Amino acid sequence: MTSKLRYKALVLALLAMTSLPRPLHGAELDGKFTSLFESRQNRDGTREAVLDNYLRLDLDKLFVTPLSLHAYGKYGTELNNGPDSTDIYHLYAQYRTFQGETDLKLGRFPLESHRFLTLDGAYLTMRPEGRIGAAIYAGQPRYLEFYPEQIQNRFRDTGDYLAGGKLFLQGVEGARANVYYSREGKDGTVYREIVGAGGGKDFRFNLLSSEVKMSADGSLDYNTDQAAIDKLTARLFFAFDKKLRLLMQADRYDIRDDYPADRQLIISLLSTGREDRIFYTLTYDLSTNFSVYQGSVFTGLRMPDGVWQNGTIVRGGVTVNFIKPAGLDLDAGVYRFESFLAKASGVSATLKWRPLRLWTTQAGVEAVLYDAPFRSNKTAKTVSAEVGYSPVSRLKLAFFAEQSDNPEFKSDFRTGLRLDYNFGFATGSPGLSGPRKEVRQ
Amino acid sequence: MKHTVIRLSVLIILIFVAAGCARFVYRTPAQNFKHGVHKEILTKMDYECLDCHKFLKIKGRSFKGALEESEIGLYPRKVICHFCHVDTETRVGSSPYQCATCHDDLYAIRPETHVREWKKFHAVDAKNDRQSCTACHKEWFCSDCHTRRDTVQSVMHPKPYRSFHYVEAQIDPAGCSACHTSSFCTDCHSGKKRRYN
Repeated sequence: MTSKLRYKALVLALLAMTSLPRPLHGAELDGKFTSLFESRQNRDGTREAVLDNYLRLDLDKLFVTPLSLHAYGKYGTELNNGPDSTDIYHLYAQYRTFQGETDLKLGRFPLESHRFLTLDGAYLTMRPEGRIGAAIYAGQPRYLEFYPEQIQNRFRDTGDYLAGGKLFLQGVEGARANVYYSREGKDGTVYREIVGAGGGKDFRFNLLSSEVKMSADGSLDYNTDQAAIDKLTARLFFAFDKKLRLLMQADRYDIRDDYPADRQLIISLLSTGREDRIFYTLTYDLSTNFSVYQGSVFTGLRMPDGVWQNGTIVRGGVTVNFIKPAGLDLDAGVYRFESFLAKASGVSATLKWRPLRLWTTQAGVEAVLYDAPFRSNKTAKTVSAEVGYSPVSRLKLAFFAEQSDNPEFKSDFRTGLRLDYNFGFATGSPGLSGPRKEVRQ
Repeated sequence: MKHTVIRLSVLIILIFVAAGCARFVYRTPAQNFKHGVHKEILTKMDYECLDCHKFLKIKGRSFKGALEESEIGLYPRKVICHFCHVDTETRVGSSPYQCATCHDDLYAIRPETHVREWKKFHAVDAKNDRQSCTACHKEWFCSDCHTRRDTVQSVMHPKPYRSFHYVEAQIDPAGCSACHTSSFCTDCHSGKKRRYN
C-alpha cells in the first residue's frame, strides 16, 4: 500500500471513530497529536521544508470493557515536491480481562524479549490464581531502516520469525523472577536461540538512623544454539536517607549471532561480540532545589585479533530545580569519552524558564572537543532556543531555532514550529470522563 | 499531491481540535475520573458510592459556589485511589498513565530508581518485571524512544553527537546495540543514504 493510500485509510478510520460514537458507546479515547514544520539544510546546500505529523491513540472499552485499540504512527512529507512517508510504530488490539488474568495482543506492538524490537504477531499472557503466570508470543520482527530520504525511516519486512515465552512469578511484593525462551530465525536458519532466567529482590532497613532502600536484580541469557552465555547482568540500587542514590550495573556480553549482515548487532560489527562493562550513577540531593550527579562507564572489548581494548566514559553535573518558586530548571554538566583510538570532551547546559503561566522558554548549548586519528582537535557545537505558548495544559505551540556547527558536516541552521495536542474524551456518555492533562514523564 | 497532503493534514487537525474543544476547559480530578472503568470491579467487590464519597454540608449561597464545594466534598482524595492502586497491602491493580488524573507533575512522583541516567539501567526491569513499568507507562512510552527517529525530540543523543558517535561506539558497542542494528551504521556510512545534512 502506498503512503498516500495508507494516509487516506488512516484519515477515514479517524473520521469513523470520531463521527460515529453510537457503536463505540462508552469507549474512551486518549491520544496525542504532534505536528512539526521544519526548515533545514541538505548536504548539497539546498534547504528543505518538512512537515512531520505524529498521532498516538489509545481507545479503551471498545464495544466491551476488556477490548482496546492502540495506535501510534507518523506521516511526514517534504513540502517542495519531495517524498512522503507513512509509518506505523504500533497498531494492535488488546483483550485484557480484569487484572490481566487473560491478556491478548494482536497486531504490531513493541516487545522486550532477549532484546527490544517491534513484532507483528500475537502475545498472550495468562495470570491465573497462584504465584506463577505464563506468556507466549510469535510473529515477525520488524527492523527500522533508513531510506534514501531522511524522512523515510520505515520498518522492513525480512521474513524472519520470532517466537518465545516465559513463566514468571506474580503476586509477591518486592520480588520478581522469570524464566524465558526465545528463538529467532528464518526458514531453517536459527539466528539466535536464548534460554534465560532473571529475578530481583527489594530490601528496606535502617542504617545510622536513616532509611535505606536496596534492590538487587540480575539476568542470564544462554545461547543454546551456540552453547555460550550470551549476556549476564547484575544490577544494584542503593538509596540512603532519601538523598543519596546509587545505581550500579555490571554486564558481560558474548554475543554469537547468525544474523545476516544487514541486521547483525553492532557489538558484533565492532568487536568479536565479547564486552565486559561496569557502569554507575551516583546522585546526591544537596537540598530540595540542588542535586549533583556523577556517572562512569568502564568497558573492555575483545577485538578480532584477540587483544582486549579498554574504554571509559565519565560524566558529572548539577541540576537546579526552582520550578515551583520561579519556574526555573537548569541542567549543566561535563563529560569525557576515551576509547582506544579517540577522545572527546564536552560541556552541556539546558535552561528552562516559565516566566508566565502561558509561556515557556528554553535555551541550550552543547560543545564538544574531540581528537581522533585523521581528525585531530575539532570542535562541534550546537546552540538552541525555544519559545512555547500553552493556553491550556494540553496544548502547546512552540517556535524553535537551532544552530549546529559540526566539522564533519555542514553548518546547519534549523527553524521550526511544533504543535503538541493531548486529547481525551468519552465517545459515549459525556461527563464521566475528561481529557488527560499534559504530563511530564 | 502536495495540496492533497496539506488538505488532509488540516482535516486531521480540525477533527481533533473539534473533538477536543467540547471539553477545552480545565477538568478537575473528579471530572477526569473514569467511573465507567471502575463500575464493574466496584460492584464485584461490593463497594458502595459512600465508601469513596462523603456528604458535605454546602455553605455556598450561589450555584457556582455550591457546585465547587460539592465537587471538593465528593472528591475522594488520595487515600481512596491509592488504596486500590498504590498501597502494598491493599493494591488490586495498576493504573497506567492515570496518575495524571490527580498528579500534575509525574516527574515529582517518579520512583527513586529513576535517577538522571535511568535510561541506561531500565532494561533489567523491562525484562524481569514489565508490570512495574506498565503500572505507570503505556506501550507508546517504549516506542517513543526505541522506534521513533526524528528531529522533533532528542531523547537520547545531543545534536553534536553525530560528530563523535564513533568514540562511544568504540567504547561500548553493546550500548548502541540496545536500539540499533548494524544497518543503522551501514545505511549512512555507505554514503548513498540520508539527504539531510
